[in-house]
Amino acid sequence: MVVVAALMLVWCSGLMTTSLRDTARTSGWGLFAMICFLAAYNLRKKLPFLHLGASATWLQLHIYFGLLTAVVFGVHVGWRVPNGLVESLLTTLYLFVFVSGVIGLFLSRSLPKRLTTRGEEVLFERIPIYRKRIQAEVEAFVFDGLEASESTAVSQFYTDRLRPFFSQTRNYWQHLVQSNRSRFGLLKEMQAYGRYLNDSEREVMMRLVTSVEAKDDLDYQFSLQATLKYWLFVHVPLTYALLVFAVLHLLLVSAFAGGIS
Amino acid sequence: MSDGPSHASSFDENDYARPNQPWQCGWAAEGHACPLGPTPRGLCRSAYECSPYKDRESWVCARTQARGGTCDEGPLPDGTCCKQIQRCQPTRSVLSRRGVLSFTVFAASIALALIILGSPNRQRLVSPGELTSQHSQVVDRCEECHPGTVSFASGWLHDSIDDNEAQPQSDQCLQCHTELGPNAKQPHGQTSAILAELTTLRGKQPTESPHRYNGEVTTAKAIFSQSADSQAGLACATCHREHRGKMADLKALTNEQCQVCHAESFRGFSDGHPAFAAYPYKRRTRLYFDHLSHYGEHFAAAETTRARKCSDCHQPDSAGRYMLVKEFDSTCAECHSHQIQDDTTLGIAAISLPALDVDALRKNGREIGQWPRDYPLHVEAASTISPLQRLLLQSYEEYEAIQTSLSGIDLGDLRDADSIQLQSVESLVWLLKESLYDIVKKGHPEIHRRLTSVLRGQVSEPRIATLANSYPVVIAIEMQEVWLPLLLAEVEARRTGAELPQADAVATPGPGRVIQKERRESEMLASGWYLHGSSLSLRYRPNGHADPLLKTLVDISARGVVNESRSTPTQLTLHDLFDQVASPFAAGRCTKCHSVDHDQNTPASANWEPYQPPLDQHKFTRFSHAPHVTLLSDDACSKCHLFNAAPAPATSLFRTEFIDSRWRPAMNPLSFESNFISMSNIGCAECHSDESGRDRCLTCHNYHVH
Repeated sequence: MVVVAALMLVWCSGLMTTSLRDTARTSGWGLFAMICFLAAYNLRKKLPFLHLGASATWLQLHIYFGLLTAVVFGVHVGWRVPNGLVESLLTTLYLFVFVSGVIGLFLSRSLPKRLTTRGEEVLFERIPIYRKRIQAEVEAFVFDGLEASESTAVSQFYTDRLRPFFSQTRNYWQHLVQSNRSRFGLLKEMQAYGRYLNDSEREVMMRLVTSVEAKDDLDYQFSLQATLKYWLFVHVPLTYALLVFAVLHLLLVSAFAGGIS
Repeated sequence: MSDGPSHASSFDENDYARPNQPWQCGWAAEGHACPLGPTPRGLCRSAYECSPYKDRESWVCARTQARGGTCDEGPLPDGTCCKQIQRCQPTRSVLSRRGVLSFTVFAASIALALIILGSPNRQRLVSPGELTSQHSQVVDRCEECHPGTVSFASGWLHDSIDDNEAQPQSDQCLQCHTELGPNAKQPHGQTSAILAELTTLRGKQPTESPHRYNGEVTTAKAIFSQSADSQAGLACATCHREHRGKMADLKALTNEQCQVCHAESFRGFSDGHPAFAAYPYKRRTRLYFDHLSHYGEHFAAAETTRARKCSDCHQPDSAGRYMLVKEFDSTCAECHSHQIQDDTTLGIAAISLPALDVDALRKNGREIGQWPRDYPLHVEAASTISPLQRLLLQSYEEYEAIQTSLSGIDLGDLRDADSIQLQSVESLVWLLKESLYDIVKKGHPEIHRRLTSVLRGQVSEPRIATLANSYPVVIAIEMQEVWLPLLLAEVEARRTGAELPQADAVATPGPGRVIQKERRESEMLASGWYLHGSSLSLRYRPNGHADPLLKTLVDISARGVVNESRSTPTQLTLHDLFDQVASPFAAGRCTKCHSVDHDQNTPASANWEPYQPPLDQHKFTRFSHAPHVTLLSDDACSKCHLFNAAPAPATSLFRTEFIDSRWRPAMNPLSFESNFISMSNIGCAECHSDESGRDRCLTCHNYHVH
């Protein structure tokens, strides 16, 4: 549907250009209206009590109109790179907003599926709590074992290799690209270390392996959920900047209009 | 989303999460967030780990399992929890951080916009792009093209609301582009009436190839048609979009954009373009040159083996657009210069002594004084007065009455003339003598005064001066001395009332001296002024091509070629002079090559120059010869200019569109048959096709016609 609408827009703009009509003005007003509508989606989320339609419907329209703006924008600028300061700034802002939107669309379509494939689904805000809790549990049985066996092999290994891993979120980008390299590397290292341990220590090490896997799954959840939230840190603020400069552009082009019908 | 089974999922074991709150407890990341959470402004409430509840008479600890369950110490006696939570530094939620960032960017954008608008360099900052190199050289500030945009508050904001500034902006353009004419904003710079007329004419012309449907143009016209009748006209920016860089093409238009206003549309130059209508031969050439006879006969018969090429006579102009005719000396002179300086033709008579029937006059008692009657060689003397001399005589008041009286009279045979006519002849003779006396005595000033009195209002002053100053006063004196030696004494005696001197009283040159002088003149003065004894006249032959005096005579006399029903005596005389000097057999043979144009509204004028392309004229169609001639071979011209293989049968020595059957210049330039077949666009389309990309409308057509 979006493709058909885009083709129609290109065809109509071609006819207007052929007719020596002011295609830029028409497409400009259309683009401005579309951007306002797209920005209103955020407002809709903030005003759930107004019964402005289902959020899912808004999202779907947001996606359709957002993709269409690329065609309208291309028509508006005549498929060329503008060279004025305000126009260049506006174009840059639009491209950032559009590209971040497309990336966000891709992320929101792909990451939720991946979230269900590994680890447990947890609330994003509680991930630090769980991470702390896992760390506390791990340190408890590691250092309890130390008191019992008088051996410092496991605790030393924990202190040297595992504490940084448990103390904060790790391997953000690797999780994002679905890479288990670090996880397997750490587990392999723990397995290799096991040959130097006695039975009781090996048992502790086996519990550590389980905790490492749980922590890594938690990191995986954090990485994907954070990405799902943080792309909006580009998309939403720049939308406001885009609106500001779109209004400025609107004032300027209206003031300096050349009088084309 | 629910917590997984391995994590605490019961309500008691978890802190209450508030992800939509802007602030979160600083201990949340440690796994034990404050149950109250921060204030909406992000201040720590410094709460307790629980809020004890009263069970009958005692306070009971209500600490959640997430915080370790019921404490051993229990609440204080006043019901306060004994475990106060240490103050934290609340943190913003993800949503809040995004909101802060959004607000910051929004505010920064507004600030940046205001900085741009308030900057002293705001015109440069808000400029949507560089002007073209031509405009950037003459335009410094926005208001020079955008009226009313001097200041931000009163100008830009106001103009953004008021749409009426559009046309004044076009007016600003036209303040510099005055060459576009008064109707510059109308389509093609023409009025709607002219456009309608052109459309009607176009409808009558044939179409060479079948009309082809251009769907895009037809659809565009149906949906977004523009009215050509708008009084306001089209804004310049309709076609010319500025601010697209120094090298932008302001005149770029597609074929479809050109056609969208036209009644007919077609797909391309090679596919549906209207046929050329008699292009480019709209009129006869200004110079009479018969390509057919020259290439068919004269060049072949000429004693030369040199191959004749078009470039022998034609060359592109400096702009390469028009093929101009080369100078006379490098083209026609080789064969035709001797015809101009032909001393076998009589020159143009300026002053002549008409052949009179002296016997009849004296027999009837008419006293005319001395008159050269007896010269044996005066066989060519005419019994009429030359037109050039009549111009001088018309400056005398009595001449008109004399001329009227002598209408139809042969001055050389007055046997049947009545006494009144004989008296008029006598008056005419004395008028001739007085005019010659005035020339001899007063010279050029007198000639100039008399010609001015006759020609003022019809001929420009410089031309009158040129003609007057060309009279050879010295030769006129010689003429008087040779043929009328008593003239000075006779005129003076007649003016004072004294008796006329007799021939015996003045030394008369003998016939031998006169014959000797005449022979010398005829042999040595093949051109210029000379005395022609056989016709008793002072005559002029041209000195060569482009003779100034002969051109002046033709130009002056052409003023007499007007509608005969409204002719004045002066115009009739000028017309006679024109017949004399503009004959293809007259001295110089000017009109043998230089055509004369005349229509009902304007006087006749000789085309002394071949077509001279106007430097400031923009027609609907343009063609540039140079690239075509350069790209093609020597026979490039003949690829487009094909000889008319079937010319009209020759019924005259001259082509009738130049010289009519009475041996006078034909003056209608639009009545002609070209040497060449009208061009067809089929040949052009071989190169200017859609595939070549050189079939744009603007390749050959101008939009602004002026």
